[in-house]
Amino acid sequence: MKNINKTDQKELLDKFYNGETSLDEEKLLETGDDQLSPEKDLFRFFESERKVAPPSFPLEKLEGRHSFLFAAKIAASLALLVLFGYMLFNYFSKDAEPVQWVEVNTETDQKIINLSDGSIVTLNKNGSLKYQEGFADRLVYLEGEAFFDVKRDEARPFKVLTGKATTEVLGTSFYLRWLPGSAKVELEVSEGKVAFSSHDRNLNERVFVVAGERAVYDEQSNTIRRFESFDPNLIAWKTKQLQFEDAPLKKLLEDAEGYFGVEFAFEEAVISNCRFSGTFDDPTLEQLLDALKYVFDITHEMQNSKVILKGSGC
Amino acid sequence: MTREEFKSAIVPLQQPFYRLARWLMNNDEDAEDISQEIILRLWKMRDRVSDYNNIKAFGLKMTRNLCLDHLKKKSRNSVEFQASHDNGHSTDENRIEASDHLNLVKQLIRQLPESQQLVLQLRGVEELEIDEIAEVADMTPNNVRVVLSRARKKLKEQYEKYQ
Repeated sequence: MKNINKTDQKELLDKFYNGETSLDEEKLLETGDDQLSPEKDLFRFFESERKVAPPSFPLEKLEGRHSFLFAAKIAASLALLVLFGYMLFNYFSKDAEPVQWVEVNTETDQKIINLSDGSIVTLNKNGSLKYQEGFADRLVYLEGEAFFDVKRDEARPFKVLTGKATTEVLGTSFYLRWLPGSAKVELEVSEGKVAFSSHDRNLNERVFVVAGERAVYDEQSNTIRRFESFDPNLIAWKTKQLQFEDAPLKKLLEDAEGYFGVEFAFEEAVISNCRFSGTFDDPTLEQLLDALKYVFDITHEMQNSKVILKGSGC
Repeated sequence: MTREEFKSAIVPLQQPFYRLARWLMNNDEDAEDISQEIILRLWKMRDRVSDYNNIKAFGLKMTRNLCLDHLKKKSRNSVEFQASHDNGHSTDENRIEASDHLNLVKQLIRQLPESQQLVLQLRGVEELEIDEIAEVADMTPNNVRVVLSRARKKLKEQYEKYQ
């Protein structure tokens, strides 16, 4: 069957273009020695695509000896537990509406949370984000650091409660940090406009913070200060970029400490006059230290997670 | 299904899943993640997997669904992405540079509507039967033939413009 004559070929092609050829017939067209161009190139394209292969599958991911039945048993006992807890909860708070909370916690890794309204939250390490199931109210509680990309919805403002401050937006991107126990809530807006206020209704002082600005709420004085500056390194953990513009070396080291989770030890006098300009893209600690060595006369020594800086500075 | 059976029967299917995801997402990394995810999902349901008579088609359908899901999420975040996936309606056809024939074919396919691209891929690359394509693409077998015919004719017509 390998050689087919011209009339058969013509018939087969018509069938092909009518979507009526079988796989075998298509193989015949593919292997036929006729050099008709459009089909030949199409077949050659498919052949090259067929060679595309993924990197080999990580077989270690196929674990968990538990069968489906076992998982179902666990799920059932969990459900019972939840049901029991729910009944207990209802018993003690008869008039309260049962509210289900979803809580996302991070420890050593960041997490990206897709909220059902289309907003996306990047939660940094050691953080916690809590919201009501269904997320109908667009209200979240934040502990720690997070970057918010809020889906625009004029009818329903998106609120973040942190410590004693409320951040309210319609649709923007911004960064928020509140460490539990700390008196300060820090806000940085990268897009759009954000209303920042204290929970304290008497104060009722809403401060509007726009893109490129920063604001800090101080619980002790119950005030909000707004700055017309923006520190991109506050969100370096998300952007993977450290940026410096004529920055004192001390600031660089502070930012790097936060970014790499290390501690620098140095003598103030040595670095006091050093200033640095430049951008690091997804740097390793080594790369940053190499840059310092190159620009300044500073070498380093590692002691566990501590980096000792030495040299004559600038 | 035991781990060994799964390894020999299902894991190799990652390749077709990967190829389809790579075509739909136009991105190797996403394709790797998605095709792995599908294998893992099949692994989780390995006790029932043998009930499906055509696991390849079943997995390809899951792959397509997951890709569409990802594309939806992505387009929510970037308008740019949507524009580049607009099936080429806005693309100036004359801008295509036919650096080589295979590239030309690829670019011409990219300009077809999504359903035509999908059907062409499933037939040409994965060599699925019409019924199987119908399952993956959510179409009737008759409709698959019609779409396939349209796609092939359109490709030929476009191809001849550049010769």
